[in-house]
Amino acid sequence: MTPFSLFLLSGLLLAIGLFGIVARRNVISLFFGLELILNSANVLLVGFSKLHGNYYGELFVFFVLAVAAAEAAVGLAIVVAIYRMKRSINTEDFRTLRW
Amino acid sequence: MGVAFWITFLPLISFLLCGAVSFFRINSFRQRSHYFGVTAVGISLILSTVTLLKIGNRTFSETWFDWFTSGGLSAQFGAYVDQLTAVMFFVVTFISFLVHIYSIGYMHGDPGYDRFFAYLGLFTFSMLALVAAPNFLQLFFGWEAVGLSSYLLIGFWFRRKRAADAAIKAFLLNRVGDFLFILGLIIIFWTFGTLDFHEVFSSVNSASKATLSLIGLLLLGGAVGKSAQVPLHTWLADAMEGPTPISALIHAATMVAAGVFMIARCFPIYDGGNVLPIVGIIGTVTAFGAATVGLTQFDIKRVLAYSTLSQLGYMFAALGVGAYIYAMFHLFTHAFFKALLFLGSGSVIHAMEGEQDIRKMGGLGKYMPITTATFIIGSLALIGIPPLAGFFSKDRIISATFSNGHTGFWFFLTAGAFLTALYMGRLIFLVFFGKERFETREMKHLHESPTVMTLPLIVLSIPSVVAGFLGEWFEEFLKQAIPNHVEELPHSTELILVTITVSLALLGLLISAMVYFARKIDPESITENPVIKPIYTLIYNKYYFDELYNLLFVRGVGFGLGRLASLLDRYVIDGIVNGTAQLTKWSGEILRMTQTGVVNTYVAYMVAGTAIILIILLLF
Repeated sequence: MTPFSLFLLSGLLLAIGLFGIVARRNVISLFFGLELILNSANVLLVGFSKLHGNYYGELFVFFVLAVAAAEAAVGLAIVVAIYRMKRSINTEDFRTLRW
Repeated sequence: MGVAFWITFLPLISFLLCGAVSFFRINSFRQRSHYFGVTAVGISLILSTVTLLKIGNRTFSETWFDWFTSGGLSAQFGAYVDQLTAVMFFVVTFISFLVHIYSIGYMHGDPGYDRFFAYLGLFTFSMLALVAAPNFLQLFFGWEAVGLSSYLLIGFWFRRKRAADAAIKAFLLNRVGDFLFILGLIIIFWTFGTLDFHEVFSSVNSASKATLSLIGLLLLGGAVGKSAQVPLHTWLADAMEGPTPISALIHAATMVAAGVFMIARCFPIYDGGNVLPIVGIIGTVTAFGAATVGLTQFDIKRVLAYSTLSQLGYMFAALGVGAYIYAMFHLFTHAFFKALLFLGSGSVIHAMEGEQDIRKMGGLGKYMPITTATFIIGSLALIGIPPLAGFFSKDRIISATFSNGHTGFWFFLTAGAFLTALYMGRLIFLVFFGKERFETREMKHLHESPTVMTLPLIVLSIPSVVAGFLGEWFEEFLKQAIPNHVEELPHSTELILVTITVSLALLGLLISAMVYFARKIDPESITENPVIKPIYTLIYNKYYFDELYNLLFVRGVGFGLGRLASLLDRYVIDGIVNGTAQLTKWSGEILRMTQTGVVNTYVAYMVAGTAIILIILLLF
């Protein structure tokens, strides 16, 4: 596992995550995409950590994971709240910000 | 600061004081405003008289202060006092002083008493600044300022619609003339590079005849407006809506004579150009035409207004044949007897409680003897019965037109003299003699006017009688300031001319006495005659000038411009405003499509935006 393949993996994860949040209408799927983007950053941190031969990056990943866990909990709670209000988790069904 | 400064600025001080009283409503002085006016103008009159008597063959100049300097144009306030100015100083302050005194009685109890005296002071100051002017710019300043005070005083009772309308009409018609006048000033400055009288007049020879004619014509436009000559005359009859003392001071004796004064002052320009015949034609047409209209009117002040037009026409005719001094002499005598007539008519109106229709008067002679006597003196002076003042001045003009070879002018002016006798006789017999045609309501109030009003009448009747004898002196005196191009006539010819005019005047009086006093002929039967009726209708309606102007300028140009402006406003201006709104709306309609409200779209924008920033950063 060279750092380069890790960078590649990170880029791939970012691309998939972006596609997920742009193209999918399901809020859960959107959430998945979000997590993927977050983790692409984690992979990148690991990759740089390897490249530089120290553990700062890997250390930082743990913080990110902790934050991501909290964020997932808040995010899913929001999704549940939306579902209760609109009886749907399709993004096209809650567009109340538009005029 | 010399004597001319005080003559001119004392009335201004009166204006400021009365204006302050009026503006701040200082009640203890409101009904006593005449203290200021009478004192200031009285001192002015004394100084003017001294100036007139002591000036002899000298002239003097005063520079009061710089108005402004701009490029090559330096405008100074000052005075150039020669014999012409001295005479005008005297006439203006004399009439103004008497009108001030008269107004104490006439305007008594009027709520605008203080305002009235303020305006009177403003007018007197403006008129004196006009006649004192050493340059065209101050002349123009005075010219406009008298127009302003005339406007204010015609519309003095501005709550009456007719008065307010008359004021606007006077102002607008004067504006036409003043526009031409200012064009004339521009050409003078362009040609001579200065507006100073001395410098302009001393270099008129360097200008071409065509330029001088053009300047003369444009200045004449201003004079025609201010002196109410055909075709800008229609405002003067309406100006009679103002208080009667104003009609006497502004619209008979002084302001309307400003045009005559201006042309006399600018004689080098007129002598150098070709405009004088036009001046003469305008004057003659006005003199004759206005006299015919005067014959048909029923409002006592309107008859006198048309008489004023007619007499100003005589002055213009005199200017037109080059008899500048005779024009000034007629101005001089006319100021006295026309002011007398107007003040007398004011006295009549005062007694009749505002009634001005001569059909509702009659037999006033025994109720108001002083007014009647002085009015008759003024009328005889106007008609030109020797040896009263009007005879000498008018006869000089008429014989000057004849001797200078303008027999056409002579014919119409002589006919005008006949008509003058006719309409003045009609006025006297209808107002002061014959059956009493008023109602009992007015009867109760009928009385001679108070002394403050009759005194000016008596004072004015003195020069109306004797001013004519000053003719020789006046001629010699003014010769030092302005020329008088009149051919000498053989004595016998002159005698014949005088006989013709005087006998025609007497004939006119006789006919009017037959018709309106002895009632031998019924005036109705003349006007109802099928041959005369259309002519009478034409004249009674003042030759339809008002209707013509209404059609041409008010309805034609005015409404046309109004319609054009309305279209412009509706389609162009509103188009711009509404167009802006439409554009905003359309762009909004289009741009709102980007706001879908769906989270994914916004994410896509963010991604796209980030991508674009990245590309830019990478490329540059």
